[in-house]
Amino acid sequence: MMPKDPVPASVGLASPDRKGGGGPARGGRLSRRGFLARLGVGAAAASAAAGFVPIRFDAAAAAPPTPGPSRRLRRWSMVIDLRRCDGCQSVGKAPQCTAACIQGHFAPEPMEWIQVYEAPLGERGSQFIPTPCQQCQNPPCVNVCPVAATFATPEGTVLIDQQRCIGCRICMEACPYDRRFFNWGTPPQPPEAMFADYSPEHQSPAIRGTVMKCDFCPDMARAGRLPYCAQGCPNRAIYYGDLEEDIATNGFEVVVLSRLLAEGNAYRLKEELGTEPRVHYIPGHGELVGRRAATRGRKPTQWPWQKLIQGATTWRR
Amino acid sequence: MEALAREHEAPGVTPPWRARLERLALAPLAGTGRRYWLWLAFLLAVVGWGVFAYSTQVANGLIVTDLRDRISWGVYIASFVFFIGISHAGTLLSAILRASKARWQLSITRMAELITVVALMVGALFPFIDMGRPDRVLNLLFFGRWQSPLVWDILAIATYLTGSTLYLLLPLIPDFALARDRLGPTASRFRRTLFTLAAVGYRGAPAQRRALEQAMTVMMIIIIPVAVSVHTVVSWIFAMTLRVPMNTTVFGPFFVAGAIYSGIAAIILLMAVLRRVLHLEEYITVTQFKSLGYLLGAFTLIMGYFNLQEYAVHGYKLEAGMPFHFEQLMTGPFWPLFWFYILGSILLPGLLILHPRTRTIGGISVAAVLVLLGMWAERYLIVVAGLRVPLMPYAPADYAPSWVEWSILGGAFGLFALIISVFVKLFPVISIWEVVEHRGPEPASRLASWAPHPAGAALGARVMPILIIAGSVAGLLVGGQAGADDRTPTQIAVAIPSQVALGQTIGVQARLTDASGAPVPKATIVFTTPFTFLGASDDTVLAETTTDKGGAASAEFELRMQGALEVRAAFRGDDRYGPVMTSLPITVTGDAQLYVQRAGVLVPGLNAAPSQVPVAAPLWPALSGWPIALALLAVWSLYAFVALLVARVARVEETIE
Repeated sequence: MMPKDPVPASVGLASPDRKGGGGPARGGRLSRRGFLARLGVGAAAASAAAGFVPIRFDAAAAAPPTPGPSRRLRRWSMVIDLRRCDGCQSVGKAPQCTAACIQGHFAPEPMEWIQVYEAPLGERGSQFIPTPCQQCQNPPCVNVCPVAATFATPEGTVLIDQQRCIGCRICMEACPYDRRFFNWGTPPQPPEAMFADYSPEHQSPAIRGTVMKCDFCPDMARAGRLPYCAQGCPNRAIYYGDLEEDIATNGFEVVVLSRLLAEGNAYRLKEELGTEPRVHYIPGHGELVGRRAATRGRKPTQWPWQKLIQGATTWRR
Repeated sequence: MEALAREHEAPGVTPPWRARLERLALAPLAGTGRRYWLWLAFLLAVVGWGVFAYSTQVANGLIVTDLRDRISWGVYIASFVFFIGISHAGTLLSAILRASKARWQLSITRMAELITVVALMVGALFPFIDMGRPDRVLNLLFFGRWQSPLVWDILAIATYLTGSTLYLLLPLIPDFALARDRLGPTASRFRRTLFTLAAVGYRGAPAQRRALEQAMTVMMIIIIPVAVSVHTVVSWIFAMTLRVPMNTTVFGPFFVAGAIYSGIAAIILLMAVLRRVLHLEEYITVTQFKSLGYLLGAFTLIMGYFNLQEYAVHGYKLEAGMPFHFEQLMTGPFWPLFWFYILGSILLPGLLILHPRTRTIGGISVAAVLVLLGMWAERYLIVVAGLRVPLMPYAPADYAPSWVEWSILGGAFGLFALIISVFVKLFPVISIWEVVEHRGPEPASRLASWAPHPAGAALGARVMPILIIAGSVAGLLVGGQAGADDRTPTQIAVAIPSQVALGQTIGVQARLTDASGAPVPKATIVFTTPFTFLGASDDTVLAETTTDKGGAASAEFELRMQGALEVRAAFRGDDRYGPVMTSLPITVTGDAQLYVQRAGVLVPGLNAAPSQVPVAAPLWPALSGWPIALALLAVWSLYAFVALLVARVARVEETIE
């Protein structure tokens, strides 16, 4: 369902007086700084937040804190445990993975790089399916790009170089999961996005006339942190891992990835297409966090930064 | 005009019909009426409005269209397919008919070829109009990839446009010569220079004639596969996606058939218009209309067949997404377009041509207009309805073209008409010499009888070694137990290799006994290793197993982490037995890459580290595209051969002098 936003578009980034159900914890909407602080991601995050610069991969500074596999390439992967996803019904907010992703990436409205779809389950029930870029190992979008603006890194992560993209949108037609978004107009972003050092791994600032999507946050992982969506999930339903080291974590537990997949009867979306996604799902409808399948509906996603850039417009319908 | 008239009277050899033909065909070239300028001004205004609409799009981005993320292609791409389709008529028709030596079409071949070139020029604009970053169009040149259907489109269309331009110009050479000779000094200096240059010194000498005919034969053969390839490739930008209902193998031939179908209709329409405007009733008669009408009629059957194929095969199986697609087409938002396409542009034109009473110039022209409208609707349905089928659980999107899109489409039609109008003013619209040759009782070498006229000649012309490490028997440790616990204390013995190779499957044995040494059966032993990943630390479960009657349990697992690890075997305890845990060191050596990519695409020169995406990729990676490169090379070398033949025409002229 394409949710309609009942909240006026004029919500400021850090307006303390804002009321309503959309923002992250503690009543009011947190600023990005507050958000990061709340995550408690340590000194690196604190210094980055103080500078209003998004946390980016810095090859020199970010030595992996974990005993990473020497010379072995990471194969970043994701497991989403649908048994624990209730579409954030229990917290009474818009899906927090999407919210965290938007906050962290300055994603322009109405892009939901990780979008929580409510899919019917039988006649009355439903399940929530958080859907990021599926990170196909046989990516149809990479095949069709005429200028190699979208490409697979050696690690296999599919990224977009917005500084090369010509905006032909053939990748959007090619993606069988509809996980690509276009900057139809001047993208609405907070001012600090303008100071970000652009990289395909952190697509900020957004550029009009180019395609964007979930970048799988390999820069965050390299710096030893979970992607924004996994950090944001209150139910810890999102595991981020490495197929090479066969390990995954949701921030609390560290599990052997292949065991998690096998024990959970994991599947992938549209497996029959042969795209070989790297995002896996454990079937469920939030039962582990107390959701009943018949409890339908979720809160619509909100973007805090319309009207922050002159000339920026939302193309949301 | 006097000179023109005198020249016609002087040689008594010229039969009156020929003089009439020449006068008629050359008349628009000689003078320009006020009505023509008004028409031109009107077309310029329409094109200007389109340019204005495009300028708003450039200023604000594609937000001025009604395209959005779900339906991200619309009128532009539909019109692109439509115009490229129209272009087929021309060359394909005139080439096939010329190759099969049909004669009735001679007076309309030039119009057909003209439509081809102009439709291609206009159609090729649309992908660029549709681009989000038109300023980066040169990236196609710098970073172009052979693997992209869009690049195939560009290559195929460029090849086709070049070929069909050659194919339009070659048969024009003798007519340029005629215009040069007949118009004489009364014509404006611009026209005289133009015709003199364009005629490349053609005098009708036998050697010139041979060279020209050879060139035309080469072109008419090569242009047919090129034309078929173009529309097949255009269909592939849709058919190469994993989208219901676009991922169908029938799209290639279906698009080619549809292209020829709409192309024939375009010729009929242009014929009907030019016949009236330029008074060509004598040369474009009901014969041409009927012949093309029959061809159109035959294609209604072919189109009907392809639609049956498409809808019967999809409709019988009704795979996921198809029920939605059928519903939106037949009863949903697209029903007027769909039924107009099926009934109004396939069935009705067929009936109009079938019935003798409507098989007239008027009736066939009406059929042609219906076909053109219906085929545009079909392209729109393929793009818009095709993209509207939801791929994920969301409500279907909607799309209604904005004023900008309609204006640009209008501007494109205006441009199409404008180029044709200008062409008609500058070049004879009937291939005079071919008609003469066919109709006249004069010998085939008639062209040679033209009076020579001094003029200049001109021509213009990319396992790992397996480390077997002996397993050492692990030591024995007694687990701690709570003092207040009245459960029987247990102890666990574990056998595990101390050193293994990365990726090696490890077999571990454990034996759980109570303090007296009696075995503990049916107990769950959990093997874990403490591990930190992305800041999270946990006892990561490696395997779980249950002891047998003898208290023994075994498990297998593979360690993919490297270095010095610690494997723990633990029994959590139950009602009778207390918990116990033991820990053993294990070293995992090696750095082999274990996870094999299931599939993947290597982008030559681009799969470098993401933090250092190359600024410049190798231009046109040589190896990956060699089949395309070979085909292009073959076609383009034939073009070069044709250019050489034209050069020979010019050179022969020098020897005549």
